[in-house]
Amino acid sequence: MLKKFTIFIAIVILVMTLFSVQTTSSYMLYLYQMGMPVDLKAFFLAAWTDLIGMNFHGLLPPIALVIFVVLGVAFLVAHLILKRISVEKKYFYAFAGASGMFTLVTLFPALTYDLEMYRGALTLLGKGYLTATGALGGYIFGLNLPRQS
Amino acid sequence: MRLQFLFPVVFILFANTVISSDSEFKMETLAEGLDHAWGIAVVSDNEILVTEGVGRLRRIVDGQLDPVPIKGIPPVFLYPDDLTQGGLCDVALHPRYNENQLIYLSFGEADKDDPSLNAMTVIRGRLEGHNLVDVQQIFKAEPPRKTAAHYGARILFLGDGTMLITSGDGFNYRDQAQTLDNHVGKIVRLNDDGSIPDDNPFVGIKDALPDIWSFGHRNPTGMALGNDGMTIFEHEHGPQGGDELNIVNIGKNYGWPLITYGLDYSGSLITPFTEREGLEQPIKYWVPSIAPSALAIYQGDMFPDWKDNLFITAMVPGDLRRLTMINDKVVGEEIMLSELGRLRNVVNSTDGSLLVATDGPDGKIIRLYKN
Repeated sequence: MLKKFTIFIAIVILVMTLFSVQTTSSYMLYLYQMGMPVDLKAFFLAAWTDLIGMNFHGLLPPIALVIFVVLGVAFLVAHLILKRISVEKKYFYAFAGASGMFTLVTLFPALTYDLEMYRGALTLLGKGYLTATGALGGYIFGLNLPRQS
Repeated sequence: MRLQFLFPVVFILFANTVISSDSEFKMETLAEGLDHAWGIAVVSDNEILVTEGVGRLRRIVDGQLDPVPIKGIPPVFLYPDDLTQGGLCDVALHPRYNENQLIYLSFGEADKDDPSLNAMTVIRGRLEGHNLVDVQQIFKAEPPRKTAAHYGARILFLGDGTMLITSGDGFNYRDQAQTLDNHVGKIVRLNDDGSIPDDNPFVGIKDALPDIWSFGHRNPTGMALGNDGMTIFEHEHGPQGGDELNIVNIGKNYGWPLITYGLDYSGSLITPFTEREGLEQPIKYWVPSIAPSALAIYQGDMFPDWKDNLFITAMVPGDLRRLTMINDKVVGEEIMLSELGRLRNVVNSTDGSLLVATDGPDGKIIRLYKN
């Protein structure tokens, strides 16, 4: 159980980091296209600032908590379903992670009058990327689960 | 024992008197029960027009709210349970209102082709008793958007008879504030009939809309003409922090979202830059945000110490800011009326008093005056 939880926390940190980096990238790419002096140093500094800011300085709940809840619910549902059906875990958890993140990036604007609070999720490409981070997280989670579970 | 007896008497005598650092003033409520009051236009010594976000235009005559709203206001677009933005916004009088009875209204309007979209629109019409007649659309922000936020929607007439209209960035569309082929994050300048003045800065420029006056704005909800008749003061909501007070000049870029002093609501950086050559700096900014909603420059004689001061209503946490200026620089800021909650608007009245609108479903119009 402890090992499973540790893996889950590692997955949350991974997905959160990918989420945050994608947010930074979407801003920085726009600024670069607009001729602002964005270089690698500025990018990495902004990425670090976003990682901290999205957890401690936002008006929204900390992104780590959001992803913890989203993936937690998704993986719990997957765990319960896997007790009844026989599917390879890594793929099913990947599907569950993708579903969780897809729900987050599509449902959140619906709750906020279509306002896209997560800038990285503004475009279809961004939504696709963030869904893929959930799939990746789920895949790694399923891959690392102890056999007996 | 005698002192205890005196206390309620003293309280009653002074309860309605407030002392600003420079001037003592009193408050009286002119009207209440307004559903999200937004715009105020002072018609005469005894008549005021007030808009309500739900789409009503109301009259206050001789200090009494007329129970019958003005008829003929077009339907406004608003989310059913969110009236914090959009709906019916500003009301402005034509500079020769006494001759032509023309008024201007800004509001969010559902797109006729696709009702899921909406746009900030300005109409003008003639006020005849309780009816608005001869209504014509004079401006529509392009392109229409899906969101119901960041409309701007402030109207200001300039000394030359032209008018400025602010148009917000619609929240999701901020990148377009830097391109000139749309009205996102712009201030536009029009003639009183909606036509475009020949001396606008982008007339004849390829791929630029000719009505644009300035650009790179976020959500400019306050605008006022300085008492010199030339200086245009404007304020806009920043994101999380970074609310700005600007002096708006012709054709200038005010930087959003390339530079800002605020963070995104998620806590991420919108940009690491706060200044850049070619992008205008605010004359003041607020971190954390105060959510500035309206701006007036005191013109009256009732409070000589307030002459030329800027008054800004703020919605977070809710107060009135009095800014003292020297040579277009802010040298002092006093926080007033912090007991009234979110404030939506402030305007000069004809007698030198100030009128302040409180926000919310039970909004009030409050008059600040001196005996």
